[in-house]
Amino acid sequence: MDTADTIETQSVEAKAAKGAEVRRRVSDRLKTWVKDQHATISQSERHAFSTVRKKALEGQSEKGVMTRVRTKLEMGSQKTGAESVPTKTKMRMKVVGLVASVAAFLDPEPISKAALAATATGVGIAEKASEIKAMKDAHDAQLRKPPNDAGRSLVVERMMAMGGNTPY
Amino acid sequence: MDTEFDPEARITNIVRRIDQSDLLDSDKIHLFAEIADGLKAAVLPVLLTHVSREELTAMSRNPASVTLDRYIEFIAHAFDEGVATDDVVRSLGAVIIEIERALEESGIPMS
Repeated sequence: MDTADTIETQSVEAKAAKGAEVRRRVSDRLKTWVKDQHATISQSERHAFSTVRKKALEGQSEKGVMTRVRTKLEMGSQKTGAESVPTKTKMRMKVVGLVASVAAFLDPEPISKAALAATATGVGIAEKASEIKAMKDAHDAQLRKPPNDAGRSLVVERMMAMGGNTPY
Repeated sequence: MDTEFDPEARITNIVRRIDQSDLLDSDKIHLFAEIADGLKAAVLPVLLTHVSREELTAMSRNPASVTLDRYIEFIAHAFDEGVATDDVVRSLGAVIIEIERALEESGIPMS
């Protein structure tokens, strides 16, 4: 390995180390915050909502449900907006995507659970794992390296579920 | 919190800063996914605060009575007065601040 290769390797290693550190910090902060917020929801409420959401989504396309919830919320925003502050209406329009996404998507199963379910149903874990990997790759490709402002806007839209779904 | 707080603008800034950082693409993708999860997690507690408890209990006790239309009405009703929207924005604000702090601590400045 020549000097240039060594420097390149060190640079990649340094970036990877920094990346791991950033991810850890963001993850830790989010986990703590989410845990605190979700502690305000009782188990029975969470269970009741999950039951209702699961039943409502039965046999439905999650994307289709999301579109319907979003349309309904947008209609409500326009109605309310005519009588109230326009900036509030604008803000409301911005968060409906997130709300619709939460309303329309069932909680994703952790991979370990999916693998267990695959075993139970006789589907090979490897096959299930490759399916999950394919889903992740497709998802990653959609978020990959936004090259310009339009690309970044797309990432933001997907984060706020305004222009599609982010089923992770 | 600032009444002019715009979650979309703040998230756009976060995405721009991460994108312009020298992190590896794989780490950027993971961060975007993690942040998206955090944003969604900010919504559920607020939503459950504003939905009708009676309706939730009635539907969960009798799941056979749950239709998609009824469910959508149930969700939309929580946002009728606009208070839930304010609370969602406030909650998003709190989670966005957490993300910004974590990035700042990691040497990714927000401004």
